[in-house]
Amino acid sequence: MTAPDDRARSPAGGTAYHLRGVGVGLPGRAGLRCVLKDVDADVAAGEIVGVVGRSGVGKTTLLRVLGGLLPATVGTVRLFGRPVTGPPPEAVMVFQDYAAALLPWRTVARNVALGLGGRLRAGERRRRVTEALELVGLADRGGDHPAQLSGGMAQRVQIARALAVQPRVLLMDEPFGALDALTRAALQDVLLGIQERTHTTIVFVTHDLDEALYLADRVVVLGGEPGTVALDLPTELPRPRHQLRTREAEPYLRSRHRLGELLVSGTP
Amino acid sequence: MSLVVPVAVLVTWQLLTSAGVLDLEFLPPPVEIGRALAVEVMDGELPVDLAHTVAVVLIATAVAGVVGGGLGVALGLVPALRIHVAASFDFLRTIPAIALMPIALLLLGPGPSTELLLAAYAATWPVLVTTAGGVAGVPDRLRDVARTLRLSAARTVGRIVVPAAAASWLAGARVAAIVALHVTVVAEMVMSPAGLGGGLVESLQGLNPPRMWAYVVVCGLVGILLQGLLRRLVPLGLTGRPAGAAGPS
Ligand SMILES: Nc1ncnc2c1ncn2[C@@H]1O[C@H](COP(=O)(O)OP(=O)(O)O)[C@@H](O)[C@H]1O
Ligand SMILES: [Mg+2]
Repeated sequence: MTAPDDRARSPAGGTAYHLRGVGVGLPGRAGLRCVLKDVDADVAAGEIVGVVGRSGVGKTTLLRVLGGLLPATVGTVRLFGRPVTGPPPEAVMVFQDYAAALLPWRTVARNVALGLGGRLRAGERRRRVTEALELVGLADRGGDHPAQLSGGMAQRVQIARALAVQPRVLLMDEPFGALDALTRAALQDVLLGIQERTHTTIVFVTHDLDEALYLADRVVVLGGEPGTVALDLPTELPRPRHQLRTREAEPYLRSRHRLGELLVSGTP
Repeated sequence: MSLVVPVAVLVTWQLLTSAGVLDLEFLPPPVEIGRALAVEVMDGELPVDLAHTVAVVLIATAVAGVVGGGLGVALGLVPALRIHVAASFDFLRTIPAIALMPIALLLLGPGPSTELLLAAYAATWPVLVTTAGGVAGVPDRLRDVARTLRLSAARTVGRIVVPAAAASWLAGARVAAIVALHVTVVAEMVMSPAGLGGGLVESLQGLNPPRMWAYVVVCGLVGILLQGLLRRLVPLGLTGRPAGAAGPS
């Protein structure tokens, strides 16, 4: 949001997430059911990582573990070297169901201000809200209520609310999944533009292979039952990305083929 | 259109009683009740009685709103509390407040404060129950939002839980006002010569049916006005519609 060096981040800023042997059991019909098992993964600071996998494999569960909303049953989860025991100060989650994640009784601006605690002066709070709304292109909608917004706008408000706290890590669960193709493409580019300026580390879940490749530096495929990392694929695509050229590039098509093979036929 | 039935009933009533078809000693024709009402309003005690009852009902409702709201939030927030007190509360709640009237009368004596206490007690339950339900029903997703934004416990309650439960609280307060009216009128009938209830009993004992009916009409009007007032107070869409209602994207 402000200058990148403002928050002492650079693409080579070391390791953000460090996961080893992570397993998660969730209450099922017969006691704890193992949802994730032996998950090893690293996310570098400033990196964009896309998580894909069939429905129910544990993508949301993994993201909740990263966000400190759900404790790992076994294994190590570290963020910037410190164990994650609850929602870490550096990370903010953007939820899949934007309609349920906004407070309907608050205006857009007051929704965006929700995470700005008492530590900030009123003027600084206002400035952050304005900036965040500008970043997502909703500068003129601050006075509206969520019910007056379309789905795409509501999701942008949720993103602005996360950006307003100036997180070093943004966790996003199928952020554009419910939107139409054009809105989705526009928001993808908004997100990439913001990340280019802020170097925020982003881990996002998607069911759309093309979205994963287009946005990410690395695509992590979850597979199996219980879910684990089936493939960790660097996309090796140059930035800035371009909605048409990137998708026509040779490495894109190669990665696309690889992912498709794995997810459709199940053989890497 | 909704007036068709009451008007028809009144006209029939009037015709039957004035034609002598319906001849019950204590059922005066509507016109006579209207006249009694006018007389009572002009130079009777009705305005004073009305003010008394309305004041008791409003204070009782306000007390119930605060106490029931506070206890409801606490009960909704702390599951341990809920488990420990729920059984006793359910027991207390099922004792009709009217049944406690003789006890209150013995312990505290007749008077407005006893009336108020009983009405507030009875009116607290609906607020407490609906508020606790509203708090416990705050969507999990909003709790996730509070956690990921690292809101303090106090901020989570103030910014998310209480506003999310406000609609339930107001729904409870509406019920509370009517409960308070019922209990107040009965308490007045039983224990004090004041208020609408007192006036009703007085008219009964003075064998003055038109006056009694006039008081009944006023009791009904108070109930209707109270409901209307509270409905006005509940800003429609207090909790609003969820986002995305305007279209898919
Ligand atoms: N709160 C929960 N309690 C119990 N089981 C859950 C819970 N949330 C998800 N699960 C189960 O965990 C598995 C993985 O769910 P999830 O992480 O939501 O999958 P994905 O996001 O990949 O579709 C599913 O089988 C789901 O039924
Ligand atoms: Mg999911």
